[in-house]
Amino acid sequence: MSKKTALVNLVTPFVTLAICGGVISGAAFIPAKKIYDASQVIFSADTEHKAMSEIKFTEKEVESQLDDGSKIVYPSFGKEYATLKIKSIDLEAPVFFGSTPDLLHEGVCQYIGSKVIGEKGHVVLDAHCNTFFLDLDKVKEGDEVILTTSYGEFKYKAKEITYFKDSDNTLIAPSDEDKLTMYTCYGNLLGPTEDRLAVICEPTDKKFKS
Amino acid sequence: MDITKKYVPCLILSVLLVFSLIGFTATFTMNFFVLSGGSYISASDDNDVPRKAHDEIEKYFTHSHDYSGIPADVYMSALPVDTVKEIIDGKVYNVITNYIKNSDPQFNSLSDYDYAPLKKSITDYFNDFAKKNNVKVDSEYKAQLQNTIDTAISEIESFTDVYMFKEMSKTSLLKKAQDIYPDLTPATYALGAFSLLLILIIMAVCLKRAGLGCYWTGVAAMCASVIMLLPTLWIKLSGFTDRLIVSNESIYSAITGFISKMLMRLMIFECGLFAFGLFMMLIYAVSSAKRRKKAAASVNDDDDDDDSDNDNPVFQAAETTKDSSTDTKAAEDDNTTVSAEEE
Repeated sequence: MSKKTALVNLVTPFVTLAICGGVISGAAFIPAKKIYDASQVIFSADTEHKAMSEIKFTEKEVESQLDDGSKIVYPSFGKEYATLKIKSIDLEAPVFFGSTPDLLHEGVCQYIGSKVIGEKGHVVLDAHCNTFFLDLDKVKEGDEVILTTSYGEFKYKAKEITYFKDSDNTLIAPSDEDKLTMYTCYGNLLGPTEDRLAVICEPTDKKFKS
Repeated sequence: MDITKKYVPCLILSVLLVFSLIGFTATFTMNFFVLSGGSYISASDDNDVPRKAHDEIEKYFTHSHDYSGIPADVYMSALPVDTVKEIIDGKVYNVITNYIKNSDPQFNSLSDYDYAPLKKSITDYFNDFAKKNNVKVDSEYKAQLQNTIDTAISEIESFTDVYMFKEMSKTSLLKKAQDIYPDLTPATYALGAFSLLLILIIMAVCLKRAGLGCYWTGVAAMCASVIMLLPTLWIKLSGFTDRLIVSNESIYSAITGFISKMLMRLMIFECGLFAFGLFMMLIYAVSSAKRRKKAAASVNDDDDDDDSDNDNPVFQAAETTKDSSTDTKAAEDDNTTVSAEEE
């Protein structure tokens, strides 16, 4: 076989490949771009899947100073940062910053949109009615509630016991008024319920460590 | 011999064959894999998806006990792994077979499982609770019981929708699949037949030199396989699909498992096509070698009595495989496309 023949035989597949590749690239450019853009969203995890369940929330806390010079520590999400005590119902439970099914299984959770304990404003805590807030409906007006953190101890007094539907967010909305709201689901039957019980407390004492 | 006389037509036919083979592969894969319920069920089983979904359901009901007061055992005693698999398979059947293939007008991502054991288990627990706590069995009680059953079934259906058919139905993807499916099978067979037809035409064009027909067919098969193999290999080897942004273990395993299975099947098909192309090239190479040998032998026969063969330019030309008048004549007689130089 002459060199010319061999060369033609060798080049022809690449010529064919180039022609077909060129046509496909040209015709499929726009749909391919749409698919590529979508895939960049759907397949965009930058962490290995196996490691996703091991992701730990950042432990970084931020120390801050309030207007009156008191120091508080903003907790990281998922951190156990306080203890809740209500002597009248013999309750002592850990308080976690953030509210997820896993955290609610472990203790009382703070609604992340509310103020950090010690700040002026509305602090909102919730827990399940069959676990840590089992006896919340037994709290009476005037009962003492104590929240203890690493930066201070904060006392409240139960002011109001009320009921609302889970679709009604007014009782847990942010507020400039200094108060604590603890709520849980409420009902005398089994199964999920739309009814909620809330205990609204007013502050009586704040003791910062620094 | 005019080299372009056969080369350009064969090149055009070869390019058409490439597109036809790519189209056939795509429609075949869509028809017999992507739109086959068995593929989804097989991928689910291979990746232990029913057990993973079962564990997620159990975790959910364990947490729900915190607010519902109903222990997880009440639900899970009626929901073994086999039942979870049955529910998952039922969904696949309803969406792929009923909705897409059978053009069912109503989309239904729910399974047809009747949940009778689950309903009984919840009802029995409610009744025991009512007896122990002197709860009145009134309309409110019955409404709460029904609400609990409905909520449990809804959550189970959600956890077992491992291929996210419900989410897909919110896009136009499933509807488009339903619309194109009736044309998919005829298209698959048509493209397959067209590919065979093109091969026959190439062979007919290269009739006097069958090996050359194999060459062009081989070129087309190899080009088609390379065009499809490169992106498939890249997706598989780069682990692109492992970056699926779903943390839910059962859904992640189901979807990535299905994609992985599909890529593997495509790669096997494409490697087979490449091997076919290589085989055709081999036939061409063997037939070419035989022809050259035959041509050389015929030159030898002509010069049997000539003792000075080494000095015979024709013989030398044949020996050295350079162009010669005899070789050219032989090649022209065979009417080859890439012919003259091959001698």
